[in-house]
Amino acid sequence: LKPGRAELARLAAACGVECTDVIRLGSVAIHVLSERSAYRDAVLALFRTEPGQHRDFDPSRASARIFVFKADASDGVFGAAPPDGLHVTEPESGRRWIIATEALTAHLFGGDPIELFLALQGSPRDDNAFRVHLSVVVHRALFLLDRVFLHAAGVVFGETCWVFVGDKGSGKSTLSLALGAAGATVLADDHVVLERDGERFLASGCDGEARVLDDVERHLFGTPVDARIVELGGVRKKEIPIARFFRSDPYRDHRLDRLVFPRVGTAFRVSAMAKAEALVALIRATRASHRFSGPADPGAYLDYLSTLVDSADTFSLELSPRLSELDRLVAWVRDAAT
Amino acid sequence: MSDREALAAIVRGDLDTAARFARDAAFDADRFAAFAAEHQLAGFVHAAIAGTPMQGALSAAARERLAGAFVRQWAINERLAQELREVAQAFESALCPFVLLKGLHFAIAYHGGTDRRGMSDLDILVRRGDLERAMSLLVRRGYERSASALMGWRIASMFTHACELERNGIPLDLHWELVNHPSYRLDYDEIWARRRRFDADGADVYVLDDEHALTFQVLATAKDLELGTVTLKAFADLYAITRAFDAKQAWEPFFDARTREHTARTAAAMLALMLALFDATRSFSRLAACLDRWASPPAPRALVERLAMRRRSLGDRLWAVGLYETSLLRAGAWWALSLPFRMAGHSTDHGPRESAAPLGDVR
Repeated sequence: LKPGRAELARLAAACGVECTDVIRLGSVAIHVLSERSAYRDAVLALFRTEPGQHRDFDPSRASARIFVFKADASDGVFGAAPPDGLHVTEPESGRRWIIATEALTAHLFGGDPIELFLALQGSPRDDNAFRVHLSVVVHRALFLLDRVFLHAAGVVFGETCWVFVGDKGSGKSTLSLALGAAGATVLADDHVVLERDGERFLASGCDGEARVLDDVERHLFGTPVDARIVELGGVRKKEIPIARFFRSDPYRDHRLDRLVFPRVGTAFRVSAMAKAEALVALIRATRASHRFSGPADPGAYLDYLSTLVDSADTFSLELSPRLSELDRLVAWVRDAAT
Repeated sequence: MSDREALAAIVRGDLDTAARFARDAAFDADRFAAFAAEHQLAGFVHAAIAGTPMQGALSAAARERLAGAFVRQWAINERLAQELREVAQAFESALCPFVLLKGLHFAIAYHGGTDRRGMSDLDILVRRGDLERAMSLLVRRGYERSASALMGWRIASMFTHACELERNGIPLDLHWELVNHPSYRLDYDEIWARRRRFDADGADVYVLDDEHALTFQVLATAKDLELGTVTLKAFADLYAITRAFDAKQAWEPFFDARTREHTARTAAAMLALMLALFDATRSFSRLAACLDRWASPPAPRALVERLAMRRRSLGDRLWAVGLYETSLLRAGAWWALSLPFRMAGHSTDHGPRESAAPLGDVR
């Protein structure tokens, strides 16, 4: 059963779409509409967005919409849910896909605007199960649109766009702000969206704020910054609006040039990274948010990541725990830019 | 210091020792990467040393080769995992039980993750009485036999243990026995009774319990040795299963059970060989002590080094034949009688498939 955009929008509206908010997913602004605040907030949480975070953004300017609503099997619009796993239909004309799990059926429409109709079918075991299904479906939708949401920082120095892919504690915020202080334009300190554009990739940031620890704040700013204190994973950090101090351009696409995999070690070291090693690092960085829907699926995923590593120079970066050595990072990035 | 010793340290999880080997002036990282690949362990090595000083001690070219093997391994394993999930659903819907052999079971349960061990196919075991039903289920799914059965499957199944099928480049071995030899007295009722549920990366399947997984690996390794196709990957699996078994269970009852099955001599010989290959006597002191009491025919001189160098030797293969608990004459007669059926039932020999990328040309 393949209802059209209009029919799905009518169905969503009939369920209620009063709970709304905005997500800035890199260069794509998404208007989230739902019958329940819990569904809306679950979608926001997928992209580390707090309710009301982008209240200044006019939702009517959003280039994408996500509707979340509960489907009634008797309405005849949705087919039976698959018993297990993830199922994705082949793309049809008009860039349209159906993504289904046992708890969620999503109709994705590419083009302008991008629309994702997420219909809950049945009752997920618990909130956690719902979040898992939601994550699987939404990340697959992103992937079908040639995008990945990465735990990464991004900067543009001169004409060169750098993306630093790393998990929590790998130094992303510190290095992106240090580069910002040296004149770079900061795209994001924690999350970046990459979009495939032929054989190249575009990078855009998801947030205009950076979260820093005390010692980094002292090192970069000298005196305490007047900013909100947040607790992330049991660690207190200052949430600093990047644009107040440095050049910031989070929601615009930049052509990716350098892909760097940082970690905090014992001394500053940088080395070119073999493509196969970069590919393994990207698999590790993205695999948790992806599920496959058939034996041919891993190949498509690998093809995407292979194109990504081939499109950029790849480096392994070891950061020193001594913040004074950030100067060496700045010098390296500056040299590369010139 | 040899490549085998460096690999042994990695298999044992002794990565400090491995890094020390790698920093030795005589160590050639590129040669080591080639050695690991030849034994179908390049992807395993990459996963085992990732982020450790051993990785840092390797040359860029060696790291690239190992990482490339890991990517191939990851892609193949993911593809097999997806296929297994669909096969499991088809068998469950048809109420046709099967046991997953090796593959994802070994990778997840004994090596720590889907991508930690190289795989080339799916192996499933069905009850002999379910064989025809299982075959039709697979054929309905699009599998085709990649080998023929001489004089029909009913007769061929007396001399072989599995038939090979393939669908879209995915090989699947359908077993009705773990291994086949007239001297073995494997208790399949017990094997089926002791199977356990297992989450194979999203596929809810049955697998062998640790004792029978170990027994199967021992017998399969001996068979590969007999055929001259064994690699150190088989022994790395044996090491990992032994580690799990040794942590929970006693060895004497294990060998008592193998004695009843007429497989004790083979089990003792393969486990002793594994200890020698991986310098692991100290890791498994209880097993080593037990092996002293279950003496098997002494291994040929320099067998360990020949295995490491993948040199085939007729003497080594005959030694493996001599492990069957029957006379050489009877073993030889069965070998000759079963040969046409075994040859007809196999599309290829069981040579290394890691580098051949049988599931398509993945990067």
